Amino acid sequence: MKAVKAIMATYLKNRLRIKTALLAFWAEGAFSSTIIALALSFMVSVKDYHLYYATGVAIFLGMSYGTIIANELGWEKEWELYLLTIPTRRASILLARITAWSLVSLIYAMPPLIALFVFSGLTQAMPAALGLIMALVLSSTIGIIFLTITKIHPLSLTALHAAIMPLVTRFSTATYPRVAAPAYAQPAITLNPLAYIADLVRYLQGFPTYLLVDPGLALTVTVGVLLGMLSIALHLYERRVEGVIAK
Amino acid sequence: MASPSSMNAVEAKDLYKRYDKVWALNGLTVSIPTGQVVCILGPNGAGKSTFLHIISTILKPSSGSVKVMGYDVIKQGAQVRKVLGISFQEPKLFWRFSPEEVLKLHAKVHGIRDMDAIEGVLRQLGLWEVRRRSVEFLSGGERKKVEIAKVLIQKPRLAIFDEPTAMIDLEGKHYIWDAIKDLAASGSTVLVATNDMYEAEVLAGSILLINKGRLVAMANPRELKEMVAGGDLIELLLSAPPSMNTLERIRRFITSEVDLQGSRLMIRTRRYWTDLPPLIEMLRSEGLVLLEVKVKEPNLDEVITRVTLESR
Repeated sequence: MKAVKAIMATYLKNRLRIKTALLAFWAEGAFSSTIIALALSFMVSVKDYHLYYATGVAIFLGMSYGTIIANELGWEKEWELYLLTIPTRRASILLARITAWSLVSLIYAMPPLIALFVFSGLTQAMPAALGLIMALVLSSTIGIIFLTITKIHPLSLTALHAAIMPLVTRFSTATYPRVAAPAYAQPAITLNPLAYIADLVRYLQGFPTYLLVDPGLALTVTVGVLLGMLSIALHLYERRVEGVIAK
Repeated sequence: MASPSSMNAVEAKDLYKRYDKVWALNGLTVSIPTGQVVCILGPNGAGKSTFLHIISTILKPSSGSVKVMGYDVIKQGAQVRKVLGISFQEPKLFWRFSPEEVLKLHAKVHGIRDMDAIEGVLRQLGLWEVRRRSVEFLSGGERKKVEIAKVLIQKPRLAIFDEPTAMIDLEGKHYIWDAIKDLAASGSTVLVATNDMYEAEVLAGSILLINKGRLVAMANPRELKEMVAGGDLIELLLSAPPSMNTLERIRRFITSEVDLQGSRLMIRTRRYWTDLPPLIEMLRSEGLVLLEVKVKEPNLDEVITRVTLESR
């Protein structure tokens, strides 16, 4: 347990050491999300769209920050080899990294999200807190996925982020309600876990249900995705070292 | 599981490791006793690092078994990691951290309470002045020393050093060799993978020679030299050639490997220090005067080259 705590503390310290970079992240996140939210409010004709969109941006920011940190993780093979020699169970090490990484992700994402919520009128404590928590959970999930992927090569993360993330976001309910989505996007939205995760957050925040997918289904998909990715990541982490599967 | 002091530090049996189509280890079976400094030698690609990574539970073998201090590396990985420490060939460090922070973290994860040991090791390796400088601003040699310092503060039962003095200057090498010897003297079993024959001569109580993933030989340096190169060469320049009778006595009582070129007598012997006195006595009894005596021990470099070639 001491080893796990030491790793988490070290991880946080290392991530948050460069304070100017952190300030830049916050400023960039708050600025860009607010501008985009304002612009899209004029383009989508859904009542109180800016409130709806604020949650979408929260999710999107969580994913983006998660991806950035996971990318850094992918380049830390040297450090990872050291972690493999630590006298504790490998699963504990991975969970320590994920937890520490999630906390870092939250610290990166929280200030711009708070700024966005306040700006958009989502000032009630409960919805804001829910939004943040779900952003954290989501970013963790994405992080686990990318952490697993980057065991192959970190460059694949950059390629995936550039090529797939816009599509995943576009064909989900992250930025607009399903009822407002064009017909060609409907099948993709049905198959996209992000749509269920985004609408679950909104359901918990009290949005009108006619805008959302079924909450029960959304909860099932979200929990399933989280547990599934976690178990896959744990399994692969045990087996894949130095880019070589130990046979 | 109890780990009696009489057990071997490492016991590998029929160890195979495959990377795609290449067999890095090819049926390696070896027992490494506790309380020694064992240098692992072999050409590039022999399987040295793979063997060390399997011992350290970083890699899983394709087949075969390995026990470290009695613990199975596959079934009891966490216990194995508790009794060993490894210094990698390439330093594995947090680049934004200072040497002091790296060592404190290492001490914490290994449950080391004696933080004074960190200061001692930093001073011993000449890192005290740079202890608060970020690792990214250290030289290659200094980073390597930080990597080694991790194992030195840990004092594990099995310490592994992969190329410990690569990138290190001569003065630094001596610091590190002394530190490794001190570690062994304090009771650790030490494995050193190296390509530096001089380093092996300085450190090794035993040498483990690997080639193509197989064990070629395991012996102390002296035995290895005797086993392979035919021992020492004694070269004597005499006042006159010895008689046939004397040569026959030398062949019968000392060694059959005798070569006479004029007044120069060359003799191969297993141990020069036991055979030289009676040899001189024989020659003197014939009234010969020794004008020059040379003794040449085979160096490890020659031995390893020959063994490696023979194992192909």
